[in-house]
Amino acid sequence: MIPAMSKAALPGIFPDRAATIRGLLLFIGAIAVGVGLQRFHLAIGYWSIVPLCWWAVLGNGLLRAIWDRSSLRLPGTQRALSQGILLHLLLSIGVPLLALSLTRPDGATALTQVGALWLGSTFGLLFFSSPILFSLVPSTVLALSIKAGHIANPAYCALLGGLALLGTAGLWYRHLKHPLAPQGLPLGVYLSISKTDSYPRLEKLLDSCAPDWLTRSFQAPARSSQDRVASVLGPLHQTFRQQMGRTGQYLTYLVVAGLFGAALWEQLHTPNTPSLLNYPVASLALVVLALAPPVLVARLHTTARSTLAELLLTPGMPQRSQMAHSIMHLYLVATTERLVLSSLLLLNWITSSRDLGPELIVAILGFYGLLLAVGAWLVWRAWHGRHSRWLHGACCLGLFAFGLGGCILLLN
Amino acid sequence: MSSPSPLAALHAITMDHQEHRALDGVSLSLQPGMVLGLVGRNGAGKSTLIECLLGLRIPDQGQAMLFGKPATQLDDSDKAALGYVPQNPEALAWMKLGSMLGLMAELYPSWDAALVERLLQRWELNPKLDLLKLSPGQRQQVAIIRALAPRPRLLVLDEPAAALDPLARRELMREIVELAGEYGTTVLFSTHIMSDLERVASHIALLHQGRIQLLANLDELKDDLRRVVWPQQVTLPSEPLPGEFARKQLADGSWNLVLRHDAASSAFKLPEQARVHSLGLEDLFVELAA
Repeated sequence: MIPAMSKAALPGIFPDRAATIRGLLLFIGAIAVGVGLQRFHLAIGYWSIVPLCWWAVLGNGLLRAIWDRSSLRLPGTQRALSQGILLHLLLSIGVPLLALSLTRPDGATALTQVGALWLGSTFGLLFFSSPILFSLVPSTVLALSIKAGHIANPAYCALLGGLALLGTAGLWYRHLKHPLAPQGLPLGVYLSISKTDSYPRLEKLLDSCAPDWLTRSFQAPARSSQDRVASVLGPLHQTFRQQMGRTGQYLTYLVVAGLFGAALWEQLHTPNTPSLLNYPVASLALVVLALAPPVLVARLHTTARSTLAELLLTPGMPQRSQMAHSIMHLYLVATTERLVLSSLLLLNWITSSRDLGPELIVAILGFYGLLLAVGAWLVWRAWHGRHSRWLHGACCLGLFAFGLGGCILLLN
Repeated sequence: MSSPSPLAALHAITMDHQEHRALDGVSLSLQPGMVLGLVGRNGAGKSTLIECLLGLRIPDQGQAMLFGKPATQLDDSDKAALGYVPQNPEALAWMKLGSMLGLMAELYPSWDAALVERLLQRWELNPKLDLLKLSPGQRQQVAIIRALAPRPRLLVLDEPAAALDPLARRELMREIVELAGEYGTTVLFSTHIMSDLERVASHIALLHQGRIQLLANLDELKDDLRRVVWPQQVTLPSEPLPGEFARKQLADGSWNLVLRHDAASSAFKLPEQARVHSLGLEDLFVELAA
């Protein structure tokens, strides 16, 4: 049981009631989709994605709580948070396992199912504990494990899952004892902040700049007004150059190129047909990537009013009349960069069974154009205080269906 | 002799917020050097008034002026002369304290690095700390440092002391007095803490149900205002008495009146049984806003 003295730590273990109910519904929906698709011989790999969904919709708050409350000396806090992780691991594995016990897929033993769920849950934890940019690494390793069929090997899953847990522990040791810098913020914490205010910004460590700002009285601003707006809005509206400078930008490109190469190498050595699962995951990832920023812009008018004040009242920012244009420009540049980098990985994934023909390239570019156009329109509406959850949800669903339908039509 | 043009002014501002009239024809002007304390109950519209004044909200009717121009058309020199502490200072939360201050130092020509260093030391704030990990009180301290450091001509604080400990509050009040005294900074701050108000404000404005119910020089107000208990046996005229601010019937049938002292003592003859009491600021707030 969680100790009574650690009540202060409890609210962070699960999100608020409404978000918990929403998250549970989504999670049960993901399980129901899996159960419904069993008749189509759905790969066991799907079930490793399900616990990852748990961490996405219900586990982020816990990671934020660890980040926020780890320094509390309240008795039992650390223990409560550790037990929170255990609880999330158990629930993310146990609930789908219950559903699987009712509809056991062909050829999958109970041990195989537990292995896949264990791998998915531990990688979910690792994914959301990783620094934002490096979260690509666990997601790619999981994707490759699914694609190569290793997911059906319980021993492999147990070993890799154990390594993921060790990696997670190491990362949290690093996060809490020796924070790298703001750019080292765990993805889960970053997403949790995004829900209330804004996002992490990748900044140089203070050590390098402290003597400067403490001694000088004034110096002509070196950044452009666009860069300043990006600084206030946070990383989701920043290009990799704005986040980390040129070196960080090239390092990111290098990491993505390395992952792309690894995926390509793996594809050449283990050719197989793409799973039915690949298309919705790819479509969903792109839609989420493109349509998350408008929600955060909308929060400037509700929960993030101090950020709005920084934008409108700090010298060096664009004039109010140019702010909408500036924010849309930032959105288009930053999101295009992310879409291009993501596409290197996703294209490799979804086109593993066929060559990348001209019609496919045109279709993909068209889809990206549509994503950016709808995203920019929603950003414009959000900046002008006309954000509508229903419209945003409808756009997400519509684009997801469009992307999924397009994939299926073009690739099959 | 004409009075100097106001540094900030609201002209007949009306604003509806979530089907509720937050501000109802509010007019207010801040003369240079004034330290105006804005008080009102929770939900009275103080933050909305401040945000309208700064151009962060566009009112449904009326106009807000800052530095002689519409609040939505500030240029960089106007912005550099403005300091603002929002009620929930959560912006730039992903940064380290020092990085945030470094970013701001680049943008303000009169950034006072010595003041920043002094306040960081006094409030024991480590520049290496993540803003995200600071307590609400520390975040408020950081927001105050960020607002004071540019040595603004106009400083606007929305309940700045709500999360501060008594020592930090005193420190803040001292800085406000120093800014106003040495630099002629004009200050508008909203608060629920009457002792803070008495310590630094030159003027007080009471916002009640979306309207400015009282705007007065604080010293004059403390000298002039009286509470009069009007006896039950004497019929109280239905028309307001000269200098009357508020009236409320008590359980025993007598009346509680808030009157200006002059009016109460000379212009109108009170019944012999009437009892006249002096009025503290907190009592005044209760009488006017209850």
